[in-house]
Amino acid sequence: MISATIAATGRVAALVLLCSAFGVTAETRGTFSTEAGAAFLDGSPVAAAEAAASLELAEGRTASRFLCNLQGRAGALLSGSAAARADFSWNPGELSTVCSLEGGLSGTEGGLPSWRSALGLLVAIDGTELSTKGSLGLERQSVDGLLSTIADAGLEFSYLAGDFLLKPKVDGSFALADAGGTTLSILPGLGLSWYPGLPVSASLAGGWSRSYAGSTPSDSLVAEAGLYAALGPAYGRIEGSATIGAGGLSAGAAEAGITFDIGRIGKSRLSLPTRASWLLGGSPVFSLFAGLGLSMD
Amino acid sequence: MSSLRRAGSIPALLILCSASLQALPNLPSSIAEWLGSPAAAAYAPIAAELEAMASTARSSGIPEIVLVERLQEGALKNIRPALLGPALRLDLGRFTAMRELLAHFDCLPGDTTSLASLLRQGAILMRAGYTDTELETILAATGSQAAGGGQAATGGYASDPEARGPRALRAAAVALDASGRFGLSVQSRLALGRALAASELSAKRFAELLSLLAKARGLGLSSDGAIAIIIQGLERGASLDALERDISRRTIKP
Repeated sequence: MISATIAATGRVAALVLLCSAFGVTAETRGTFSTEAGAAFLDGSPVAAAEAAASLELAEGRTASRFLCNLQGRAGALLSGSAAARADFSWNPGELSTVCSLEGGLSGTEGGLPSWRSALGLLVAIDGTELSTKGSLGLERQSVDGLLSTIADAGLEFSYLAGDFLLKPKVDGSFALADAGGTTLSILPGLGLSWYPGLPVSASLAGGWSRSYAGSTPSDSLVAEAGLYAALGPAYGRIEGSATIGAGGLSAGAAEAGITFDIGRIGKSRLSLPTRASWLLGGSPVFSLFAGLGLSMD
Repeated sequence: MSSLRRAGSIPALLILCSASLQALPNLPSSIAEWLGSPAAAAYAPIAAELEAMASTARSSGIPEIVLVERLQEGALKNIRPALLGPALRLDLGRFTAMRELLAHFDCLPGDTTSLASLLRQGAILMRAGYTDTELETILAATGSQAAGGGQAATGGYASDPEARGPRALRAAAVALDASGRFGLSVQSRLALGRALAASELSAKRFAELLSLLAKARGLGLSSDGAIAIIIQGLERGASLDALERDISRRTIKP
């Protein structure tokens, strides 16, 4: 993990140097953060570490942004994951466009690695009270050795009503598995963000999904929620998602975390991150984490 | 008369709300009248000094009521005359500076009540740590337009001079609140105040930035990093929804 952290830092530094060498005059901003600590994964102790880096080059109404995140755990088994995304945005007037390239890889010792790569386009027309956002995406992924291609599209409106952003939306996706079989999903839903003017924010989203694997439809309810708050040097977050099908809860995840700012060393900030998470995929996994974090801009 | 030194612990918006309240109905409107009230008995030794300040205020176009309120506050807290005189003189300096700023930008309110409210708010912000130069910078920003153009949603502040003062002070108050709660540098605080003042957001929406900052911190962004993203968005005329999107796209998880 340490070598991965050094590698991530090196990549950011190399990009900055590259920009300087070619005389790019854009405003450059880089961030780096890392945390390491102890975790209990279903009661077993493991060492866990994470590093994230970003680099942003902005000039006028265009910007390029590069983000990467590496995570690793070492216990009875080694596991790790990596994700990276490049965003290229252009914001003329009330129009915002973002083209993104994304990739990720994850695996556990002795298991098949999973990976995904995605290309996305987002176009938004932003008004002060009403915004409209359309998105298109194409994704290629491998989960447990099963390859598939997914195309998705979404349309979302965002309306500012008092302290709330109301977001009616509809998403659709079409998945084609290499081994055969197609799945079509349609998800109309409603999102809501709450901005009360205090250091608290909440978001909720829910909808109904109908999937067709072949000609057989299956329905499920999907929901996501998030609560964020700041109090003195502590920043808290609670996030959760659930998919409820005909047989009950089929997938779910919940994570609660509090991070305490504990001081600065030069331009770096030290923090104490803590979190508890629960993941329901096949069998439920519960984990606790506490560690030390370092971040710099 | 306590000084508001610890800006970090000040719920600035609440202070500004209370500062906007009308003075108590039975409060005398002039220092001469106040000196005749029972509350002023202990301050007879500095009566001449207070009368002189009242005269300066009148000649500078400052409503005396704002000084009377501070005197009454000091008397209620049993502040000694030897301390009250100099403290009031400092306040008179702040009121004068604030009035000069409003006059400089040609946005003095037409009525005394509105002027008194702005002077109170400006003086509170100065006691909390703003310099008059910083407030001038924020007030000047209300004269510009965010890059997206159009001012209908902002209440047309740029074409309504009297809207500029309240807008600038609200922007300064929210930036101060954000600074205290999220540990911003003085530069970030000023940049945020200026960006809010010049933005296309309506002034009543400024405080929603505090919620957005809480979300950004919860998602793992640093305070100064989140402020930089917000300022960048405000400068291009971004709405709250666009700012939320900007924040969300700054994180990635496997």
